[in-house]
Amino acid sequence: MNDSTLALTASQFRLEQKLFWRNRQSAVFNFALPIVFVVLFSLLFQGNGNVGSSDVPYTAYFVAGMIGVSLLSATFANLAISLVFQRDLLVLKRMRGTPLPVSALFGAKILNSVVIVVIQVAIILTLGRIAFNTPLPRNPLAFALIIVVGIVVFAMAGIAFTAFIPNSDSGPAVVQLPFLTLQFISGVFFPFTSEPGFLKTVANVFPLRWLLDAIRAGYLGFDYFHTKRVVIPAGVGHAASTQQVPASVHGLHAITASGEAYLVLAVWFVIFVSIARRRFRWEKRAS
Amino acid sequence: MTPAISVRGLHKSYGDYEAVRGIDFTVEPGEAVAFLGPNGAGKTTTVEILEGYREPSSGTVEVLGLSPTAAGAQLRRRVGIVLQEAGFPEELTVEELVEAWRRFYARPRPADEVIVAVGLEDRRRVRAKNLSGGESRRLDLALGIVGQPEVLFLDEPTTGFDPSARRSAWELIDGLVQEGMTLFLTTHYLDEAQRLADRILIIAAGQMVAEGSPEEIGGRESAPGTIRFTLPPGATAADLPQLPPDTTVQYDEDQVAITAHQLVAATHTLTGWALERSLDLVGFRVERRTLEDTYLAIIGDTGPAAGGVAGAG
Repeated sequence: MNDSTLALTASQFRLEQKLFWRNRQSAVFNFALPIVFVVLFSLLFQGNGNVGSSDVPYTAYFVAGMIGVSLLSATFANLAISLVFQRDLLVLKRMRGTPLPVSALFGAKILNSVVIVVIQVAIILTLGRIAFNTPLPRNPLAFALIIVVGIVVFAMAGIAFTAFIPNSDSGPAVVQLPFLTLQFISGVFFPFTSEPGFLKTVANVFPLRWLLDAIRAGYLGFDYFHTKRVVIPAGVGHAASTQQVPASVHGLHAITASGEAYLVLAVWFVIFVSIARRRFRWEKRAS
Repeated sequence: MTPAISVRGLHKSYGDYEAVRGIDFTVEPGEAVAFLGPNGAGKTTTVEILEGYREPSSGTVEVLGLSPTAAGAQLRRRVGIVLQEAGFPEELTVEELVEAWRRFYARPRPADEVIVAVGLEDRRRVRAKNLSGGESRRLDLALGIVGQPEVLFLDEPTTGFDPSARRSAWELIDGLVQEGMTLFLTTHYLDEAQRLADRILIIAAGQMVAEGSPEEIGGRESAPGTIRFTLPPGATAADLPQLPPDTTVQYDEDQVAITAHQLVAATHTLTGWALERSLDLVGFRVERRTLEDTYLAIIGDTGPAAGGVAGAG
């Protein structure tokens, strides 16, 4: 990337920001959704106490999940839907006829996603802190790193996924399938460890589960990748059982413990780039 | 000198459908060429290959000596493209879009100059989504020329223009051609082709069927012209003077239509005859064969595709 590409990325980014903020409804909904979800789910599950036998309150577990969902929505869903919209309007075709480098065009869109995600994360953390006494990130560096890496990977996923969306009318519906399915099986709402084995295997193949647990390593300071089987002795109201309990991680260990997650995300990134290179369309299909 | 555009043996197929069936032409730098043809003739396919949007199935295509698909940004810095149809990022204003486009090019024209040139000076702070059809088209043109292109591709640029907007657009484009820009114009309007082009190429059913200057194409120069007038009261067909050979006279009641190869001689004979007898030839006019007549005659010869059958344009 040379100087002029960087300069063009920066100026395109300012345009993307103008476009984003001028589309009031979309901007409002982008930030309202995570707020509503955090409040709603925290209220619903407030009484549930801690996750499993750990000392992680359910609300904190869920706030980390909501951060992941916000990221997925601002990158994957947002980019896939808006790119297909611009493709059908022949905006992309027009851009393609200019000397604007493809890297600057997409780079600017990814930077725009960074802004949206940062604001959403700030809202979720603040809201959780004030209303539900959830913690701030325990390992800020690990937390920031996985957010940035996650944005890049899932933005690329959105760009690649446009290849499977026939037109802008079907955009939101086609996006919902992976968007919702992956959320349900990847441990946003319920601890991943309590899922049936089959769903776990499926979730392990896709990148969201890895993103969420790496976010939790940064945010909660627990390593959900390497849980330990712990026998819970019988007590009042429950029989003896075994549970998968995460170990706590701190500082750089939160990053190294997430090594597999970064590896899986890297592999998916390469897959998304190669799909985008081969299958990305700059204009709507001839009718 | 490297030609501005060079096309050799160009073929393009979509599945079984052969949209372009082996065409050749060259456009010299500074030349203004109009590319005409009925719907489905392969015009837009050809133009979009020149613009780098599609790969040829076979044959070679060069714009400014470069392959449009392989050269990428290197070529797109030097050409301007006004597509037949393209959208804007709708929330941006006229001014913002022109400014954004200026950043793509090394030596852009001043934004103000371009906005005034296309007549959008009163609309500069209006968002693209609120422009009328004609205004959007003028903004298309503004974005096409803002980079000072060496070659400008215009695909039906004045569709939806009112007559005065069309005239200003023509003056603007003609001015750029006078400054040395190469123009490759696709259009359905024959008056537009006549006004802007030095040379006309006609394509039908994927093949070139005619080529020449607007005056000469399809033998227009040597084609017979028509003289029309109303036969004066009291005069009969037998009173008409002896006309040059190769002239036919047709009557419709008192309306006379004389088709003559030697148009000047026939006109002279008729006006001389009228003066001598102090006759007023009401509605007297001399018509050359129009470009439209020529065009319709040419594409009429090329079979069913001339009617505009299905397929990519």
